[in-house]
Amino acid sequence: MESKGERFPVWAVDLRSASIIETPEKLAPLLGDFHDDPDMRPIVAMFLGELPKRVRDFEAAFETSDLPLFRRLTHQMKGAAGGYGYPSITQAAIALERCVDMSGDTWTRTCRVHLDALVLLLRRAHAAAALLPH
Amino acid sequence: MSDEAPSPRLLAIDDSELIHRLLQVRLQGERLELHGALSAQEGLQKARELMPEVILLDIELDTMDGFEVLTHLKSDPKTQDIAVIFISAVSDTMDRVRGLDLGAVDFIAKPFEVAELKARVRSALRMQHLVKMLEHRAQIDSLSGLWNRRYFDQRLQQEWSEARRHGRSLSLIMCDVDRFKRLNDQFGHPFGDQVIERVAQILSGGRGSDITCRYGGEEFGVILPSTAADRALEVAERHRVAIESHTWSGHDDVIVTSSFGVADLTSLPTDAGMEQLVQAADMALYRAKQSGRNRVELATHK
Repeated sequence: MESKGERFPVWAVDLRSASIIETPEKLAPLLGDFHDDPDMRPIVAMFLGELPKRVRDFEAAFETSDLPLFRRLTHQMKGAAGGYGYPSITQAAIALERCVDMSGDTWTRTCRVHLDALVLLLRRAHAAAALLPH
Repeated sequence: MSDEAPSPRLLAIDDSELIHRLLQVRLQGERLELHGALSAQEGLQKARELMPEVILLDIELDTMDGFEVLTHLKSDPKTQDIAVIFISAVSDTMDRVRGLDLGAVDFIAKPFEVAELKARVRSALRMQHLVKMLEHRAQIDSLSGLWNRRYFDQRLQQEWSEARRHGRSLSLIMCDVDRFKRLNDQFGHPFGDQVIERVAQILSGGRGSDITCRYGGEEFGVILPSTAADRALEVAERHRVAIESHTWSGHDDVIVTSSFGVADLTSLPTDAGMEQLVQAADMALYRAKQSGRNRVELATHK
């Protein structure tokens, strides 16, 4: 179910410093390929509605260095997002997964950049939930 | 519409709820009964319970990976013939090769293209249908159209176990066409074939629950689940009369007869095996032959 009343602060990513900076600008909604598909609309709405929780799960797994959970979340997002009409999210998850697989002990620093890129896309996609046709 | 065969069952084993929802919508128009499992253990359990035609199996699962799940499925006689398609976001060629070598029939990459997903599922179902058809044909006797000896042995074992487990009765009728060699010699093999075909029709035209098989040559076996000896004797006698009174086109003066041996579980010691039921019915059939043929004999308790 789409979460009601939960709003994200507005974010932007500074890839040079790999940190997330809050900005007053509104996020550009990321419309999916199935935005206007009536068959897909119910599950796309559900997918978008659950994104804030998934972002929190990503952040928590990252903060606690729970690598198995982090890998699973990344892998699931990589496998599913494209099917919901968000190939760019799948691509971001592929980059993040590759980074996690290759980084060894230093994964936290290098993967933060990719995680931020993924989170930004997830938030932009979530911002599009309100625009889904009824 | 009610005459249609039931929809094939498809089981998706994937730890992502997102994928299950997606499959439900994307396979909506297909004639499929879709089931889902979120873990390897749940998937293995459902595979045994549901006996789906096709399993869509993710590689990355929780307690065991998809390869281990596939190995379990292939080592279990009950699930070994289910067509398994790997559906995974893992794109390593070696993983695909490993999956196919372990017995998977196909591989679909996630995120999947809907048209490709449907086409690959349909293709797996077609192949599964052909495999089942071949299996079925391998158990059918081509002349009589009845189940063959191989099926008889398997099915009797199965019915034997069920009857013992649930304390149910079980009877077996063995039937042999009298003087069949003489019929062949006198009227030719085409007539002999005609006799086998017709006797097969008569024996299989009885109760729907009876399982009629060609045991070999001119001998037939009829398995009667949940049936005690007295009822089996009635069935055998009805068959005997039907065969004896049949008119053979082109051979109006010929009368074909057959002998029957009947045995049920009460005619055996309590520790007897399935083979002894066949032996007991065979002995009774032998007695029928010795007593003048064209008769039904019941096995006696030893």
